[in-house]
Amino acid sequence: MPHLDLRQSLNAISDVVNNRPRPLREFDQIYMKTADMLLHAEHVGRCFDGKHVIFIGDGDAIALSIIHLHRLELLEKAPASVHVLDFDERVVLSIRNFAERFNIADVVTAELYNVADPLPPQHWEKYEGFHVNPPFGQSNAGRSVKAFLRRGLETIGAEGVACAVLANDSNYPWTWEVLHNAQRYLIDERMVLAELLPEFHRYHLDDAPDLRSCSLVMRKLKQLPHPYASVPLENEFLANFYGENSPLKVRYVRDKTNAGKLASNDYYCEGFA
Amino acid sequence: MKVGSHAGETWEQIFERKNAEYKKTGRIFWGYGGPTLHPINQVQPFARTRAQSGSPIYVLMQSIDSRADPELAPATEYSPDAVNWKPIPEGINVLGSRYALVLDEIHPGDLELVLDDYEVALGNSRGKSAADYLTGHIDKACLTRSANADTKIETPKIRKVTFFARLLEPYAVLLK
Repeated sequence: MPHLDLRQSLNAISDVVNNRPRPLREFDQIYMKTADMLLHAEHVGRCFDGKHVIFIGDGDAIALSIIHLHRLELLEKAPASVHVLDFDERVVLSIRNFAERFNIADVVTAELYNVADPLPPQHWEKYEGFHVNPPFGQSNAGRSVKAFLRRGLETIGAEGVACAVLANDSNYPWTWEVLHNAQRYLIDERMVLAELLPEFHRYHLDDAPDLRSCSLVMRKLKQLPHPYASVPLENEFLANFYGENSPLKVRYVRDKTNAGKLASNDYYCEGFA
Repeated sequence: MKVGSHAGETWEQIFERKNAEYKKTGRIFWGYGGPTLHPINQVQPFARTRAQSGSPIYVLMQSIDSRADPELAPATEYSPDAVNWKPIPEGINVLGSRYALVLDEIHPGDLELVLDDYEVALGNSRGKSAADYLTGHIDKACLTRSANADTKIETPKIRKVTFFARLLEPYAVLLK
């Protein structure tokens, strides 16, 4: 691993962490531990060096982290641009605001999108890489993982690179099953394994605080461009999206505060008696 | 689930008030919070799966000496799915909680639950022994009896159950 200035890098990641909205547990928004975010950002920066990359969901704000650290000359390698798709407007607006505040809006963009919907045509096979960190798929044999991978595959052209953060922990045998299904799906889609960092990240996860995930990197073989053919996710994908009997029902989470510009109802003040 | 005095009421007062609510409205909203047992992605999926097999779902309560005494405002709305919100039904009063289980009448009980005989029913820790799972800050779980229950264990972990109720549809809701 190249040299990392730990203090400067963690402080830069702290800028990003401080900007994120509160995670919503009902949608499996579970944040990665901060030190692991830094290591993952360094790794993803190398995988996608100089490429135009799309992030399908990015509550962790890895895309912002990489670009922010790269602009501060704390990371040597980074994508040429990142575009984030997320169904949570709070995430989308927080990314746009941060990008403007830190003068990286030229290479960081974000847009509201739910993977249940067809991919917007302007993104079809337009990118050189995609990144996903989907719900872990413990209760649905990895169907939620497959849904995100499918959308990712729709965004990349020939020799595109995929980076997927997937549950991977020797103490949780179900994670191997899901990882196997994901790899088999990607191989069937003409991807080859490029890199796997096992048991690489930990999370602020209440019901399994020790559960780890890996970073799976795969590369697409040469292909001719396909005509646009994205369709909505089928019912079998939606029924157990967040777990057994826990379907995907919410299309978008809307931000009532306009990324903190409007009043919050989270607290009130009490004066001296 | 641990229960005790809360928001200025003793456990006995809460027990009386909640069962009076049941007599008036046919259900109880049992407020709770904390990081585990989310209504939408834990309680509801668990309860639906159990209900499909025709099995009742019991909420087991362990009364403890709680000193939680904050001044808390009552919830005014509830939602089973975070999208559709309704006013809290008249006659129900649920204080200072983000979530609520929906229960029938609460009964006193006297049961010693051997945690080693049960396992986590769903989620990332599915299959983990309840004895190992219910530790530290985790005090609530959706559990099923494990296949190797009744295996002799030298020092079983036992949780005393002093009250119980059954879950009613929609099983658990969000509050605001």
